Amino acid sequence: MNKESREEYVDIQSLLSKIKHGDKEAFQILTQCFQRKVFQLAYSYLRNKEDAMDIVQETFLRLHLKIDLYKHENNFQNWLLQITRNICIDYYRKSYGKRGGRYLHENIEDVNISNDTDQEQIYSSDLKSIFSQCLQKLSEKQRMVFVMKHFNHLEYKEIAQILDIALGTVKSLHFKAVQNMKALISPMLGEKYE
Amino acid sequence: MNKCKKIKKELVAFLYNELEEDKRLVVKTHLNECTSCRQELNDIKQAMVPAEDISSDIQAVMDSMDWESVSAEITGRVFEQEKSRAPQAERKKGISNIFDHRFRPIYAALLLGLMLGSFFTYMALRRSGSFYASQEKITMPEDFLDRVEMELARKETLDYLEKSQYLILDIVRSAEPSGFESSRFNSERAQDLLSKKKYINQQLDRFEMVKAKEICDQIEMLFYELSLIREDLPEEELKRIQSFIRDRQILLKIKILKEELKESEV
Repeated sequence: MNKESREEYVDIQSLLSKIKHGDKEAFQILTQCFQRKVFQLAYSYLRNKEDAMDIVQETFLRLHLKIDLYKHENNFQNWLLQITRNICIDYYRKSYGKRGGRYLHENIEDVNISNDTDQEQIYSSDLKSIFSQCLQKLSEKQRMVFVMKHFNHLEYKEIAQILDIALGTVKSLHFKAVQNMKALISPMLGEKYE
Repeated sequence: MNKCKKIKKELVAFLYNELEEDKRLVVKTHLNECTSCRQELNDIKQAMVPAEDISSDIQAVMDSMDWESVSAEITGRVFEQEKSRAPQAERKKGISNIFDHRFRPIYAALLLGLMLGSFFTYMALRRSGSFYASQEKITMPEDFLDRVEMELARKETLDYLEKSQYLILDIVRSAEPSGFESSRFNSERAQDLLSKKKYINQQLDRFEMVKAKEICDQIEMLFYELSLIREDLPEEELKRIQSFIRDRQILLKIKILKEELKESEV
């Protein structure tokens, strides 16, 4: 543990201690420290700003309720993101699962490839849309690992802690996610190059 | 071919610089020689390009947000909800107090005591025989019920005779039809007593009160006639009834019978 991270550790511990005694200001400081990370995970997973904000709100509410359950030896950010991950999965199952995913209401084949001017920009936008749709087709765990790795830029070790699974499992899930994404996207890329 | 299979498994890790140095070199050397694996790597790279764009988009969305107000809003809401949840929690605590685990041994002891108490009481009563004693006490002399019924019949008959006496006295005392006030009213009284007689008949037969039955039958006849009268009583009719009462000495008989019945009280 280097000096910087030790200071951060001490700071968070004192903040948490103050929050336990009902310190509102300490809670706001803690929120400022971690709200971006929480939002980033929620928004990467759900790709909807309002839903992501709901998740952020719920995460900090649960944090406040379960603050006594946090063990000092664990990484606080990972513990917090664990809460976010759980809420995200529940939220996705409830809101998105029923209607088959945010992007799945339109088929990948139906995405309109226009030959108009500024084709490069339209092509890029279509590609992102196709990519997002393909991402929804992955299994829950593969999608979560992929999102954490590529959109949140978390290390495998951190992902393993947040998802509470072995490091090897995370690597394996990531490998399968990339393979599946390539398998889903490559045929369509071929068509577009032609 | 077999080597390609192994290398393709390492391509993702190679792309993201996750391989150890020696493995990375092996893959890199192979890629220089193998077109198929090079193509595979290119396909993966190509497929992953949008991921970087999406990541940039996410970053742009995050940069556009006013985080200061977001944190203030979150904190405000959390403490607001905390306030509204607190009284509920207090109330719940109050109710759940009586079911608190600390009281469980006491409840268990009470229940055990109740069960053992019931068992020993049952055993004690059973051994002493007093368990069935209460049932024995209920048994009574065989003729008890008969005697009760007879007493009831006697009382009923007495009541009947007394009422009849009053009615007959009214008839005897009325010297003329106008004095015998409302014959309709007397007719109703006679009808009531007739229905009562029907009930008494059974009792008189059953307990063999022959003498009482004879007198009661005579009274019944008299009342039957009275009950038929609807309008004002004609003078001759009244006289006839009065003479009937006098001849048969009904009032005297009733008086004697009443005395006898009173004496024979159970």
